Amino acid sequence: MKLIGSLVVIASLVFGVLSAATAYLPKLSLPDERLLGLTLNAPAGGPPPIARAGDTLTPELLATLRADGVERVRVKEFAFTRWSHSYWFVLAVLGLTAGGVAVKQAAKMQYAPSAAGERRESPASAARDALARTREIASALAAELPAIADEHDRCRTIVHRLDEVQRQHALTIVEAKPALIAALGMGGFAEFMDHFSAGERNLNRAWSAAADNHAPEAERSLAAAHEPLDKAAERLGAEATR
Amino acid sequence: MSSQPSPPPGSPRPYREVTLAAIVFAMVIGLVMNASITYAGLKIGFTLGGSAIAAVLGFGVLRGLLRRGTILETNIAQTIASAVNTSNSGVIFTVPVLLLLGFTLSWDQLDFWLITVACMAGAVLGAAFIIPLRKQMIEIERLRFPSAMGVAAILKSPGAGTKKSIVLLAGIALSALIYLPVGLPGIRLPASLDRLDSLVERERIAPADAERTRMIAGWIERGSAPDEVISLGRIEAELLDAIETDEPDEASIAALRASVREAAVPNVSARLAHAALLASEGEQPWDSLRKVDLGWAGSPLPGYQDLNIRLPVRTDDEGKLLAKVDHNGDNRPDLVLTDDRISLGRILGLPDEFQLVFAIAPFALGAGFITGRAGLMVLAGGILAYFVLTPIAFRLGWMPASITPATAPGYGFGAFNRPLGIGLLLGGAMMGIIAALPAMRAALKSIAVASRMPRGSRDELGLKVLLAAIAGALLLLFVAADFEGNRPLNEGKPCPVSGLKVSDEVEPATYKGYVIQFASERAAEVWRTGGTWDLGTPTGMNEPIRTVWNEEQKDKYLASMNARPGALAALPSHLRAAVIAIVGALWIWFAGIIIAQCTGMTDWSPISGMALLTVVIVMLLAGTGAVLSAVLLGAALCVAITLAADMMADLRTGHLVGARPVKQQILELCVVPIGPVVCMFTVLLIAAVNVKTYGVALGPETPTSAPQAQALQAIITGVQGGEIPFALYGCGALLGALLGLGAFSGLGVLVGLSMYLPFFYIATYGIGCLANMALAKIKGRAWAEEWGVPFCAGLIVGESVLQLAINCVVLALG
Repeated sequence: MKLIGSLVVIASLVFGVLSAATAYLPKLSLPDERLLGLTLNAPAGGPPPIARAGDTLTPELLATLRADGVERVRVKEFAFTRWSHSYWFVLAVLGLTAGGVAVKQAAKMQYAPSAAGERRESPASAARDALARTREIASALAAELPAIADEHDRCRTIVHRLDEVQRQHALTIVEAKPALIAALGMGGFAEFMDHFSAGERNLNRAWSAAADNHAPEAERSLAAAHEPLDKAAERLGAEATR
Repeated sequence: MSSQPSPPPGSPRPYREVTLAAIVFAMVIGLVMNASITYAGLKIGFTLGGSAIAAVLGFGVLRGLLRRGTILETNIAQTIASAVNTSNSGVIFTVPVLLLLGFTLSWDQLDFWLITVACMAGAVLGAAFIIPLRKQMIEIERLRFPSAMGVAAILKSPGAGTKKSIVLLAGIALSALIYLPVGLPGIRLPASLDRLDSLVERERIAPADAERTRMIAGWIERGSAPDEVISLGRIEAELLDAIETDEPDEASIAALRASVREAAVPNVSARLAHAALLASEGEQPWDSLRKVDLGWAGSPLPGYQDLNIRLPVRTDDEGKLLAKVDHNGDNRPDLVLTDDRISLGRILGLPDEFQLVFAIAPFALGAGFITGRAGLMVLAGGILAYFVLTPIAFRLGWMPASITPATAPGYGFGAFNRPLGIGLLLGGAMMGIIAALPAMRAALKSIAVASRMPRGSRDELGLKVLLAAIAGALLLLFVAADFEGNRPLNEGKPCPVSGLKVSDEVEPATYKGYVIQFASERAAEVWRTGGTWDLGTPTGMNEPIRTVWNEEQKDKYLASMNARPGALAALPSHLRAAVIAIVGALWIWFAGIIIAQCTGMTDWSPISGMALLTVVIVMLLAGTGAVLSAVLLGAALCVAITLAADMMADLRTGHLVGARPVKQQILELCVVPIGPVVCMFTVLLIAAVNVKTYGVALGPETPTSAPQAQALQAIITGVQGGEIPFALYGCGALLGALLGLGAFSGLGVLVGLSMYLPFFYIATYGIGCLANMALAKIKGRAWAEEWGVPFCAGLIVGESVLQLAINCVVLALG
């Protein structure tokens, strides 16, 4: 369904822009009364052009252009009744609506939890695992650091361990966005990301301070990361057990 | 959300983040970059983002020279420097259009200060409006901001290990190496006579340039120039004298300009003739005519074009080159590799209306890589515009018969792609905002909760501060709009009734939203009462010419001033200014979101499109004669949206290095008003020097041609002539909004953006996206991020730094 929906969206977009391009290009086969008095917005006929931009369509000019085999002219004025491909555009609008809805439904079905509610290998569960691993690393660091006497070594440990979070786990959580939105809804996802991002930013700060060999700030930031990460896990866990 | 605990009492050394050294360094760098990039932007037509350059310089100064800068201190420095610098792209796109349209700007004029105040208000509004969206865009939506990620990679490189620093440096080196032959030809030195033929052969100069250079060489050798050249030089000298007097007489200046045009000598500029006059009078040596800006041929430093890679020779039965291989008709196959792009489509033999061209732009490649898979939507939009719509429109005869296959893409861009693209952008952004409402609500709720926390532990600037900033900026915008909106339509011009010079002593009248001045009380009375004005009896006629100042005549007068009434013409002037200021502010908010979204998703920002729409909107509201008001608000908006995008990018960098957003936000709000002042004074200085030297403030006759402002000038005259394709904008907006119904609400923004941008940048950008996907497939996503991002950060920074260096050389050479 997703593929069909996507194809409908692409085809509708192509037809939509093509038909829109004719909005200011009335056909010269229209009756004179619908064309007379319009102002050209581009040269017409030729080459060399018979009429220039700014010229007004008069009966004589219309006759000359028709005799020259000109089928359409670009004008400054728009009217729905002169738009030759307006019906294409309406179809494109309907197609985009139908295709968009189909794609959305397909995405919802793709990320919906299974009827049995079992834990599957999905982006959402990968995000859950990544968050758990992030919290583990932060907790493990908090436990290990007091035992390391040398400030420089403490900083090196923080940089090394948080590298894994920055490189892998944060990325996994961000990439699971569509699945998490499907699971939590946009509001729930926003709340989850609000907590997670706050924790992540503190971990990033801890990394920067450690890279600058400033152990006190790195440890403070590490400690500050726990609460928001716990809240993020709570938010994710609460939804998972629903 | 979470708070940063304060350092414990007795902590030996606080972690350096906001320091005096960082602020002073950043201010100096920001001011210098602002002034120099303003000049370069007016000269070459584009500007550079300052964050990457400031990050690299910050590294060198704070960490290298001062040996104490931390990652977060350097981040603060790049935040401030880019905030001071960035406003220049907003100003130079808009304000110079006034000079091109014949307005004058001077520091002792109210107009100058009103525009400056409006730009300062725009700067504050842009920053204040976008701050509450940080959580939604950066923390919830997770927009990538490729350049900001690059800057973060630079900032983090000291702690990221030697290998990553080497990868970053390798990216910078490769970028500089690739970009060097693109940038070097921008440096042009006077050509020697024996190289002229070779330069013509390599299409570096036109045959007319070579001919003129030989002509000047002849004058230098003989020590004299032809009489008609000296005559032209004399008139030019009189013109320059007339302009330089304390009280210039506009009428005599106009007459002298006409004389200059009448006395024109083929292939000789008035400036060259003036220099020849000075040489003939012994005031300067004849050899001083050997200057590129006087018309002596410039020999560019080597670039890719010098490789002379051309299409293979293909001839017809008579041995004549086919037009397909010789678009410019110079009887040689066309170049397929120019200094800045390669035409793969022509190498592959694609029909000419399919222009498959790649920009040689490491920056675009790097930005594409960092964007990754999402960037493919940009590529898809480019393909839709340039490989579907344009060729079909050409083949179906929807373009004028005078359009050739080679010129079809250019025509298609102006006629369909740009208006539809802007429409798609607007519709897509609107749908994106609707879809993001729950996220915005959650973000605002979170900020509101954080606002109640103790001041020192807040991570986010409180909503009260932001509302105060917005109210203050809105008031400034209203004052500026009110002053400009009440300016007489014919200020300094003839009285509509008598044709004499208008007087400030006479009470002006208001007609259809325009204030009209008069030369005398009687003329004003005739206008107000619809009376008859007797213009006297011309020689040879028996009857005097009389004009009845009825509605029809007044409308004719407005039409002659290109001043159609605006939608708000019926409102009292102060109320009209208030409505325009509020609509302008709302538009700034909306456009700021669009620009931040575009920059966040792709690194491209459609500033010119937004400026164009602003000017159109203001002219529709206030009337097409309200050019000053339109440009004033356009300038405010441009400054606002560039700063909104810059602020969001800085906050994204800050997130990646763990900076406290509140510190960045306070500093940025404090320094953003400085940028427009520096930029406006730089424009003023350049204009003043140009007027003294060339007789005009800006434009093609001067070294600062202001190409972006010329584009806006075309739009303003287009609005006045009723040539804006509103139906195409509307169709595009509807399609863009509906595109967002699917899985990705911002799809319309990406597709619209790519229809609006030149395809050669999109093509290179697309290669970057594909490279990311290929590398992720082969080596894994984490590997591609870990090593690809620092390398691509190097690609982005290398090009920016090299371009800045080349600009400095170009400017130094004059």
